[in-house]
Amino acid sequence: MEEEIEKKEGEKAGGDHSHGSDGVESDGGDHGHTVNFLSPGHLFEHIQDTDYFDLPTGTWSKKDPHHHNRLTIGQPYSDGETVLVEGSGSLTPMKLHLTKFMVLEVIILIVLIGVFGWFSRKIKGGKPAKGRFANLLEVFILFIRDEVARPNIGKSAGDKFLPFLLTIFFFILGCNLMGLLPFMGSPTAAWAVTSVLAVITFGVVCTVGIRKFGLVGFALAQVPRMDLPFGLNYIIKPMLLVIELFGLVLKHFVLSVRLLANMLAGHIMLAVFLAFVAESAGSYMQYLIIPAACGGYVVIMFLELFVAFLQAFIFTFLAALFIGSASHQH
Amino acid sequence: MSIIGQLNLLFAEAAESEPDALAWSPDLALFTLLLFIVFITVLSYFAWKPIMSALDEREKSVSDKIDSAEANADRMERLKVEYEEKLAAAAEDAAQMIAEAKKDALLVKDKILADAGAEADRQRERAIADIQSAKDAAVRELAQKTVDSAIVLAGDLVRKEINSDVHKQLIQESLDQFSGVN
Repeated sequence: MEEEIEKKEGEKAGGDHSHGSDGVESDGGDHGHTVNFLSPGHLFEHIQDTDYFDLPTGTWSKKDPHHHNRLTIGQPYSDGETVLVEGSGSLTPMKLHLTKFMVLEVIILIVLIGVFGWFSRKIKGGKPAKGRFANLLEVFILFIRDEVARPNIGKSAGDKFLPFLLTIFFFILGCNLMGLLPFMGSPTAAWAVTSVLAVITFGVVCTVGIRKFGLVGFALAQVPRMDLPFGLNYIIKPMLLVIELFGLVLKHFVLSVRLLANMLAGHIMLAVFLAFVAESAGSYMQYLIIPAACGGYVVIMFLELFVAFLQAFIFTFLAALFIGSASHQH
Repeated sequence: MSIIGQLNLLFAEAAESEPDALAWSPDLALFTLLLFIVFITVLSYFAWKPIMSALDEREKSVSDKIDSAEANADRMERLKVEYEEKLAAAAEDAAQMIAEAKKDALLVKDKILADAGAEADRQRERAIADIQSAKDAAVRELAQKTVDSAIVLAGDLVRKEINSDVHKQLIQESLDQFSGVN
């Protein structure tokens, strides 16, 4: 498989001179060979966090004359040196780098403040929402309130956590939808983002439980009630306590990985379909492959649109569920 | 070198050659954490709290309106029943009045007819009486005239020679005269 791709690249490089200009810039420009569009490195480049924005082919960035088609983000706080955290394994070093996902998150924040500030003025004083967009927003807000917060946490307590749940829902939704826009990306396809969201949820859950039952009470509340013979009580319950506490942490870990995996997988699929187009361009198979890949891309795009809403809902729903179960005895 | 160090080295090598789906950037994590705190604070203040209170207000006003509408509907129902009763009573009154009027009219009619009859009778009787008295007067006048003519005749007779034939003729004449008057 790899050999085939290599061979095809060779053909292309030799046979098609015009290809070089619309091909995406290779990372290792000094190697001098054409990019393998289907290589994992190339697929991931467009999904993972970077310190530049991809731009349409043919555009030129003055800031970064070595790379066409990309807008490098200015770094006010960083000279590229590692600070505080040394990277190792999956942990990347801390450089105080401003990246694409940070910019996108800020854009989402501004958009959300604009949209919901407008909406809050629109329905101020109990006025009914007028217009399609305002009604759409209201449907989302009421859904989170009536179908997520209140059934899982309770009416008055649920309303208390509504700001948290709404923020998490619309933040994740915004991040997910950002990935469907051209030249943008999904911040939720980075584990750093989803894990922070999960950690915040875990913090909220623990705070709720500890406030209600106390630290020890919250830990003990994780153990299910059961009637055991006198002796077994002292053996089984501590074991269960350990398992349940581990499960509590695991639940939130899974929360972050579920969102990450969903977004990453969808975007990799999209990238693969695009790579098919780039890879087959100029070959005699292109008239067959490109339409099929474009068709597949559109279908996956619709699926991604659905997944963007679904995963935002699932994350919010599970957060509400965990908060609800933390405030009740098992 | 510890096992963890070796593992890290292994992962680091893997990370260099292959992209890492679980790459975890502390920059991004810290930034997201801070931004999320800003997010929740700003959005709570500018959006969620006003939206929630607006929704609650609307809910309250809608439920108030439903309550008042229900109360109004009840009141209307009661009024309707009341007016229907009044209408029925009015219809009954009207029917009764009409019946009474009819009865009165009949009475008036009978009275008028009776009065008219009585009046007619009285007038007839008066006419009869008038006729009678006129007749009596005429008879009296006739008798007077008869007596007068009898006296005149008698004077004539006395002056003339009266024989039986003349006598008879005179009587006959006066009788004819009488019957001619009558």
